[in-house]
Amino acid sequence: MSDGNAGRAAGIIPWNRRKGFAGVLYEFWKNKTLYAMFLPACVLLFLFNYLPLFGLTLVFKNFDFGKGIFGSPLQTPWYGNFIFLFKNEGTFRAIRNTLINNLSFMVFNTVAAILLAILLNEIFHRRLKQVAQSMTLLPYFISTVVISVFVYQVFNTNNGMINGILSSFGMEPVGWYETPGYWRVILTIIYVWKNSGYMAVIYLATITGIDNTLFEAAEIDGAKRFQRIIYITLPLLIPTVITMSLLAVGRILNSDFTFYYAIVGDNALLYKTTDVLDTFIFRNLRTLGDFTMSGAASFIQSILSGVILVVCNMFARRYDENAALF
Amino acid sequence: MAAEDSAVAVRPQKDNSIFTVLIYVAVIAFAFSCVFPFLLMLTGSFMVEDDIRRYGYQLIPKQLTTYAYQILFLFPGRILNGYRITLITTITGTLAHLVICSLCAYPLSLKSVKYRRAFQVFILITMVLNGGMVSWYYVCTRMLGLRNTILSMILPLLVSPFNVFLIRGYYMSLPEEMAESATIDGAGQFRIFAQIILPLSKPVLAAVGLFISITFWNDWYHSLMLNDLPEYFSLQLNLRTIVSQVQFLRSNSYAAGMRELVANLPGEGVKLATAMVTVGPIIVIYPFVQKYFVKGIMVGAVKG
Repeated sequence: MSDGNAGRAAGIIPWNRRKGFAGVLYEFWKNKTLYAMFLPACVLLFLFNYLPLFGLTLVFKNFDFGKGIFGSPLQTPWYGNFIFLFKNEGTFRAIRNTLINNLSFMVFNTVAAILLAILLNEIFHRRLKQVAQSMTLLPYFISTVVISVFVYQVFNTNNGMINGILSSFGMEPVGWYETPGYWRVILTIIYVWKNSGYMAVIYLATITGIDNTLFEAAEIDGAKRFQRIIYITLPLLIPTVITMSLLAVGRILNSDFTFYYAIVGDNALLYKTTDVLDTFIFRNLRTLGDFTMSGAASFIQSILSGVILVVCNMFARRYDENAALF
Repeated sequence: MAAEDSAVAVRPQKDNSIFTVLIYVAVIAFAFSCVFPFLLMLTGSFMVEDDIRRYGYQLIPKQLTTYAYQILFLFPGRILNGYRITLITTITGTLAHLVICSLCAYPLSLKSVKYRRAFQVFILITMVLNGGMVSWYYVCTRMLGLRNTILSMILPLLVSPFNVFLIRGYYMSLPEEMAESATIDGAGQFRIFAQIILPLSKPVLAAVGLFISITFWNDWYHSLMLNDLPEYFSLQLNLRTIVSQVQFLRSNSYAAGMRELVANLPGEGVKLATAMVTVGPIIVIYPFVQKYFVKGIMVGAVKG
C-alpha cells in the first residue's frame, strides 16, 4: 500500500497497480504464456458452442438456405415459426415422450443402481465382487449401434429370442417392432441394463465411504444384515441419490439421440412412444429439410433445458456444495 | 482400495445363509445378463443363416460356419475403411483432447491468473446453454465447411468442459510448493506446466484419456450428421447402415412375396459378424483396463 502511494506521489504508477485498459494489457502481457494456454479450448468452444448460440436467431427468421441464418429476412409475425411448431401434433407427442421416458429411465436406473451397489457391497468374495462389477459396467462402454443389434436379436418378430420362447410355450409370436405400447418398457430396460452399472460404481463408493463403526455398533445391538441395509446404508445414500437425481432432472429435456435412433430408427410405427424431441428435430431437419420448425423446437429445448439445469444445479449446490455441477 | 480391504476384514458375514445365497445368485444373474448378449452375438455370427431362421439365435449352434466372416472379408474395403476412419479419429482425437483440456485447465487452477474467473464463466456457459441440433448443424456445414471431412468427427469433441474442470480440480490438489520452488529456480510458466505438473497428473489424464477414447470409438452421431459419403463413414456408422438396411426391409415387407424375398437375404449373419468386428477391440481390451474405468468414474464423481 505504502509503495503504491509513494509511486503515485512521484507520478510513477507501477504497471501492476494500474487500473483500466493498461492494467488489463499488463496482466495479459505478464502471464501471456498462461493466457495462451486458454486459447485452443476457447476458440473451439467459440466455434462449436457460441456460434450456434448466435444461430438461435434462426428461430425468428424466414429461413432461406441460400441467404443463410444472418442474411434471411425476419419472419412475420416474429413468432411465426412457433405457430408452425405448435400446430404440428408431433410436437406435443415428442415433448410428452421426452418427459415420460426420461423420468422412467431416471427412476428405474436409480433404483437398479442402488440395489446393485448394495448387493455388490454384500459380496465378501473380493475377486467375485470385482469381476461382477466389471461385467455390469461393460454395457456402458458399448456403442448404441451394437446395442441395437442385441435388441433386434431379442425382439425381432421372425427369429427373436423372446418370440422363440413364446412359441416354445405354444403362444403366438408378438410383433414387437410394430407395437408402440411395449416400447417405453423395453427402452427403460435397455437403458437400465446399459447405465445401472455406471451409477452403481458411484453409489458403491458412497457405501464404502460409510463409517464402519456405525455397522459395528448396529452389529453389537443385534441388527441383522437386512436391518443394517434398511436403517444404515439406505438413509446414508439419500444425499447421493438426491444430487444425482437433480443432475438427471437438469437434463430431462435432452435425450441421447443415438440411443433412440439406433434402436428404433425411422420406424414410424413406434413414434407414439419413442419419438422424443431430439429424434423429432433430427427428422424434420435431415429428412424433411425443414429448418424453421426444427429450429423452433431446438430453440425451445435449448432455452428451457438451460433454465432447468441452472435451477437444479442451484438446488444441488444448496444441498451439497461438492455435488453441484458448477 | 485400502479402505475397501479393511471394510471386508471388519464386517462380519455370518448372518443368515439363505440371504447370502440369494444375494450371490442375484448379482451373478445380473452380471451374466450383461455379457450374455455378447455371447449370443458371437455364436450367432458363426451360425448358418438357415439355422438362425429356423431355430433363432442359439448359444450352442447346431453347426458352425465362418461364412459370414468370409463374406465380410471378401469385400473388406468398407470395413477396413471404417477401421481407418475410426482409428484416425480415436487416436488423434484422444491426444488432441488431452492436450487442449490439460492446457486450458492449468491457468484456471492458478490464483496468480487474474482473469481466470472470466474464462471459467466462458467455459461454464457452454455447459448450460447450447444452440441445439439445428443451428449447430448449420454452423458446422455452412460456416465451418465440415461436411464430408474427417475433421467433422474430431473437432466437435475436442473440448469437454466437464473434463477441463476435472483436470483443474486435480491440478489444484497438487502441492503448490513444487511450482514455487521451480519458479525460484528460474523455470518459465510453460516449463513448470510441462515438466512438473503434467507428469504428476498422469492418473487423471489416464482416466480422461480412457473415457474420451471410448467416446471417439463409439461416436457415430457426428459421422451421421455431417458426412454422407461412405468413405467418411466410421466403423459404427457402417454397422448402423447394414443394420438399418436389414431392419428396414424386414419391418416394411408387408406383401407376402416381398416377405419371402427378404427372408432369403443372407443379412443376419453378416450383420452379427460386422457387429463383432466393431465391438471386438473394446471387448479384448476391456478386461485389462476395467479397473481404471472404475477408478475413473470415482474420480469424476467425487469432484466434477
